[in-house]
Amino acid sequence: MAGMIDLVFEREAVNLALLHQELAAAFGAKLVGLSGNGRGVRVHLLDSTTPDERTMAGQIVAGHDAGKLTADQQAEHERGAVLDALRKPWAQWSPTDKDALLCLLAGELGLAVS
Amino acid sequence: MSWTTPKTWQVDELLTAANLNTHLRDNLNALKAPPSQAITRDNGAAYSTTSTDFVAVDSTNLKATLTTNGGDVLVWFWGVFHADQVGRRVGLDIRVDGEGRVGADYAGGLLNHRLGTTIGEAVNLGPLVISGLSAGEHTFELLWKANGGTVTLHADSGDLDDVNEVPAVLVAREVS
Repeated sequence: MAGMIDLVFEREAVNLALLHQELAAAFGAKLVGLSGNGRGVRVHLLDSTTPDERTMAGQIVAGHDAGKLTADQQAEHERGAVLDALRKPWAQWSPTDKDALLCLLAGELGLAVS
Repeated sequence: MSWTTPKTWQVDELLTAANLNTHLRDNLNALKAPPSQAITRDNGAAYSTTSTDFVAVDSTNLKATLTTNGGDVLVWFWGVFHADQVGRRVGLDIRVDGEGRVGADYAGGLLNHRLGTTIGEAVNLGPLVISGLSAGEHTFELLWKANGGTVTLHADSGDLDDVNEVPAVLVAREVS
């Protein structure tokens, strides 16, 4: 769109949310977002970015580790692991299992939990 | 088969084969098969975006191109989306001939849909009549944006989950 440029990079493995955070840390409001199609990624930047900044964007994409997770993704991963561990007959649930479920439910309800 | 503005026939005018073929046969054929493109996109992977401004989903493969006779074109799209979190919104719009977007008066786009779950959800844009196009080649391109996080559009015949094994469909057809 007007006022925006797209930088296109070919790479299959991208954690779009993480790469967005990495680029946002470098570019702030100059980053409009990213788009991926499974084979590459387009970085949408304001066209006020300098050539040096565009080079830096390429370096950040090249250095991106798609195997890492964002904090939110890590939390979701851990939540999923807790739920998986609870998929068993009720008779096998220990007090620790019940505490784990209560903790998850409290989080879902927006209650403060540590 | 292109459309020819029908001639005005005169009293006692000789009916010629050429005129009948041009103004009756060819025009009926043109009405029967108007310029049309239906894209059923199998991208082999899902599309995704974090863009908070409108960008093309796929400026090569989700762009319909018609050579029209001038007038109105009907455009519509449907696809299955999900987001990384409940409550993300996806905005959809159409860009004609590579310029601006049809819903430019609306910050949210022609359609702005709340994705209620992280499970795939069907979203339909249109049918939308785009009026007043001149005769000639025109392109109709799907745009999208997210209001935060990551929004995904499924378009993969090999998706591991059957419910997400669907194409993204974009159709454009001249209607006048």
